Amino acid sequence: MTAPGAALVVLALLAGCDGAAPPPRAAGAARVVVLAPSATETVFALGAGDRVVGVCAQCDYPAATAKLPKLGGYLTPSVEAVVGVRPDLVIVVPSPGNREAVRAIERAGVRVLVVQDRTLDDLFTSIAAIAGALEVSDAGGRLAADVRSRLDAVRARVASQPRARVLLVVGHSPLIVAGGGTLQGELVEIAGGTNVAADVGNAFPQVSLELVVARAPDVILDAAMGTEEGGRALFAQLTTVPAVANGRIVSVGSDVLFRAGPRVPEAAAALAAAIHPG
Amino acid sequence: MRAAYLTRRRVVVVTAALLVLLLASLLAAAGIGPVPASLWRALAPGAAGTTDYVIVVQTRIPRVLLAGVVGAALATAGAGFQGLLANPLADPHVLGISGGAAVFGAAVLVLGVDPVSPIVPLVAFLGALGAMTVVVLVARTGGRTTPHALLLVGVVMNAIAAALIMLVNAVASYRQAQGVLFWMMGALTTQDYFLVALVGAYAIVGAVVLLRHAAALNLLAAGEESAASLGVDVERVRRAVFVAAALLVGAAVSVSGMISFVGLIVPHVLRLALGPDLRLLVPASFLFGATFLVWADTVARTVLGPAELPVGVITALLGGPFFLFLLRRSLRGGPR
Amino acid sequence: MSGVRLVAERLRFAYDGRLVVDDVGLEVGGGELVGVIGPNGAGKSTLVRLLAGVAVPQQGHVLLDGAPLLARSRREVARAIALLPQDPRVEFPFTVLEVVLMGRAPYLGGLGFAAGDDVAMARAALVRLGLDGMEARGLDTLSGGERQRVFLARALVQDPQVLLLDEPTTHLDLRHQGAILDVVRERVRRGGLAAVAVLHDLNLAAVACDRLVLLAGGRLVAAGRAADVLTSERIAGAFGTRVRVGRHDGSDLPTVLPPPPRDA
Repeated sequence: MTAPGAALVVLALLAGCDGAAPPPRAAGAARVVVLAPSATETVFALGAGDRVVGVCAQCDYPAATAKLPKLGGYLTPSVEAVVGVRPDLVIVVPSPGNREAVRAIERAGVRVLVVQDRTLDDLFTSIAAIAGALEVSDAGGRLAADVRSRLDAVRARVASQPRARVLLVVGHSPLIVAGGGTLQGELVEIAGGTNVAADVGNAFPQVSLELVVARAPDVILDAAMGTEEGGRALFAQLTTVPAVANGRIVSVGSDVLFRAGPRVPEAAAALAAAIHPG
Repeated sequence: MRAAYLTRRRVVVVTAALLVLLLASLLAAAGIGPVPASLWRALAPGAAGTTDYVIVVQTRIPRVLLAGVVGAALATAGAGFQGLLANPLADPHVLGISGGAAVFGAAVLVLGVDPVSPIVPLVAFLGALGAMTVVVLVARTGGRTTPHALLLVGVVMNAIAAALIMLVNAVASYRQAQGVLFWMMGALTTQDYFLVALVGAYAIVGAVVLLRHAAALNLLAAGEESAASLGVDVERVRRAVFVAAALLVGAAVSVSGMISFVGLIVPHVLRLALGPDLRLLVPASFLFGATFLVWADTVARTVLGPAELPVGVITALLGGPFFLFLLRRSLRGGPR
Repeated sequence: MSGVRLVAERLRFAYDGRLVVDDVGLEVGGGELVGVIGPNGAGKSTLVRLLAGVAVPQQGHVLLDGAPLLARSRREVARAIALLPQDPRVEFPFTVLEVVLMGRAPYLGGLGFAAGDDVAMARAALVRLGLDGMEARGLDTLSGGERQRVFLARALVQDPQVLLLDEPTTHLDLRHQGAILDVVRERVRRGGLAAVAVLHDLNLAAVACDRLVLLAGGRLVAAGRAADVLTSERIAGAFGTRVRVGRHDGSDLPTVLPPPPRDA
């Protein structure tokens, strides 16, 4: 390779390191490593699953991921394993735990794409960014439109029902709920509920039981680790809460609920079924 | 500043004053919370079924009482340990018992047991008992259990416990690991009056045992030889005090996680104010420890508005810098 | 003088595989002050701990008035025998009076609260030792000599029949050394106390004690009057150094002096 050519490649790699949309290359990324479950689902949903050469240990959907090499945990990727499969592109979701690992992967000269997964907006932004990096922007547009329309369908299904006051519990003890500005809070709203904890501090605040009594939700959605009995036992004595008095404490599966991936409409539908049954 | 020696009368007077302070604090704390709820309306006849009643009687009062008994247990254990180790800066968590409780609690949580299940504190307490047994057996050499040995074994136990907890977190899923972390950070939420009564009875028994050995511990402050020559069965007293204090810490941690600094700061401050005689320090630590944690938890549940902070954060924020200040003072050669 | 009798026979004590006290016997009765002397590591402190019942010998026994120490309860022994340990300290800031009152522990039941009589005894002891006016001071604010006297006061309020002192004068200056031993001798003479003192200073031991016991390497090398024990051969053998032994003017009380420097 000539010196100016090498310099161009280095510049391209450096430009890619800050996560901005990379300059177009002759043949889009052919070997992709995805280190977040939500992004993995997005890549497969874009039809680019055949390009994935490695995923994180928690990336378990779709079924094809079972055959792919696992390159470390979602929060603790293995730099050696990742670099070892010689990827063109590594897609990550930022977290304090993987910051060093991501820097190390970048220093190894691999292109890294950083996407967020905290809100619904993040989801659509990441679909566009991933589609762009994989050179399948058309598929990206179609996927985004599909997700939007499915979410709209959920909204429509519950539009005729009165909004229910909803509390989404993500931890039993200490008691932790989904606050405002979270993907989960947004899905509750889409599913025809009003998040009674929308004003309470940051994303997943710890709250006291008396707050639950004061906010008096009609439905309590239990997405916490632990057991259903545990959740029911926790609130059983709070008899003035409508959700307790009417037996409306509903367990919701948490896998899809906590993944800002293309399956969020399924999560929204599940929430809607829990909030407005029948 | 203080009298030349401790009289029965002084113990009664100080204890009574601290008891009044505690009762007033319990009453006040039951009326404070992130949600406005009236204590009087809640306790009025026929109030059952109103939100005031549910908030105050169902959620607040049990929590305030639990803060009290846990604070009492931790502070009393701290007074006992400080006397046993002849070190006014000893913290009851240092002896490895809390680590044992934490490991077992973390393990059972990762195995899928719900954090609100009574199995968790039960198993955690078994872990505390196990750790206590290991420390007592390993620290005893040549028929003697020295404070030095207890400290060393305890530090190692804590290190092992920390490593095991990291292992548990590593094999658990991300959300489970988070759950373990939150459990360990400490929480005084409860609706269970029976649990509060159980821990309370436990704390009282532990305090009584420590009080029975308080005079002997005072004598031990002048050294093993002195104490032995004054008729103290040093080995028996050390073991009894260690076991009583360990059980107090074990019960507290099993029920409410790791709440730090209460066991260090409360007895230390009381010693500065009331003198080192454990016959006064034990009951005083019991009552003031309860008061301290009741207020710390009240701050924890109200300072951020509708959200709350883990109470361990408050005690650490209060206790940490204060501990540094005390440490500097003691290093500079101030009165110990 | 009649009264109490403490007899140790054939005591043997090993620690960490090392024989610290090897076949040592000693007798002391009321009205006597016996001095235990010897080089460092000779087992003097251990011997005192065995006599106090604080350490248990592997062989041999200690008899108090004919009955073995170990057959009695600790409190009984504490009422009869008081120990002033080497370089005593207190970890926490107890007051002088509180430390002296600790000496009443063997007599107090329940939580050990002192009664009026106990406090009066303690105060009297403080006066006797020149410490009155200091009862409310923290022990850590006292000088070495004052601290030593506080612990002697503690030993005295134990109302013992036997007093054991482990190096009571070692870190004190001349004046305080004298003061401590004066009080002890007074109680020995007038109160019928039996006393054993480990002393570092051979001349002080010769002057203050009725009898001496010389230990070296855990064994009893000599026992008897100062004049018989403190010979230059015996001292050279035990301490490994040459000395000159003279006499106090007009008596056979020995004085032990180091030899003149070699280059003199």
